[in-house]
Amino acid sequence: MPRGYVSGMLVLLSEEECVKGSLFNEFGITALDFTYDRKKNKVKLHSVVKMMDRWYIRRVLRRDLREVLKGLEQGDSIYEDKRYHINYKFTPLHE
Amino acid sequence: MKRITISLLFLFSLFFSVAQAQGDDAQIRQKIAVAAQTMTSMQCDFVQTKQLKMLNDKMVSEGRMYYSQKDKLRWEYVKPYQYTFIMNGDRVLLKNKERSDVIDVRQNKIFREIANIMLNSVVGNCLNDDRSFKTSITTAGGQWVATLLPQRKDMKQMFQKIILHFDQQQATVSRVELVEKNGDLTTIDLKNIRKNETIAPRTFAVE
Repeated sequence: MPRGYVSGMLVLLSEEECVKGSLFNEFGITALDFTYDRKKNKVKLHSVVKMMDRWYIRRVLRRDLREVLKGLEQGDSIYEDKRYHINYKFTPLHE
Repeated sequence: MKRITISLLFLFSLFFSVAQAQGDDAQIRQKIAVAAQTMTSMQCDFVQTKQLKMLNDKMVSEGRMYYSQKDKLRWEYVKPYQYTFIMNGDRVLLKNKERSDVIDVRQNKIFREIANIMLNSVVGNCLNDDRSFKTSITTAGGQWVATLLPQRKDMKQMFQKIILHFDQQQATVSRVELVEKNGDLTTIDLKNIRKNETIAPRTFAVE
């Protein structure tokens, strides 16, 4: 397993001015909650699981999530953070 | 004098009811421990409901669970996603549509915690883990309800509490509630429980 591999569910709720999101693993344990403000093009992290709650991880998460969400809104389900070599891949769930 | 007598009676009845409750509590723990020890295997369907406080929404997933004494667990989600978690001793297999990974839980603290919670909650062994949990037990609606407050730092970082519902007839877990630090609640309902039936060893193969 590559170092730092994470899988789980991302649930998004799109509202007029913002997107609310929650990321959790398959067992239902939440990794982070956030909101993305479309006007300000900013991500705010509301809660981050303790093991990831470091200022330098938060900074990367905020920036990556902003790009991920912009991409998802345009139908792009893959994002690569070239600086830190982090790959994000999303597959839609069909309930 | 009358007031003193009443007070003494009140104190005596209070002491008696506390002692009675402690006795009941020990008796329930004993019944659950015996049921866990005599349970060589268990298999069931489950429905997991994750309440997302932030989104005011919920996500429901379904699957099947297999347990074999004393450290084998297969936790398989089939809907709306396919994901399999197999624990066999210290080794865990994680498998989704795209990849499968084997990890050693001794080297991964988070997985060790999650694996132990899943395994011990389902079997009911959490109740006897005094180092990890402070436990209280009540009886409600024909069930025993055990509330477990994490005591260890790494567990406290994840959960506020874990609530286990036990079926009184079978003395086995019928529902697990995981209350997280951020207020999110995950409920796992175990259904169609079958105990002590042969489960093929292949079910727990980590490879």
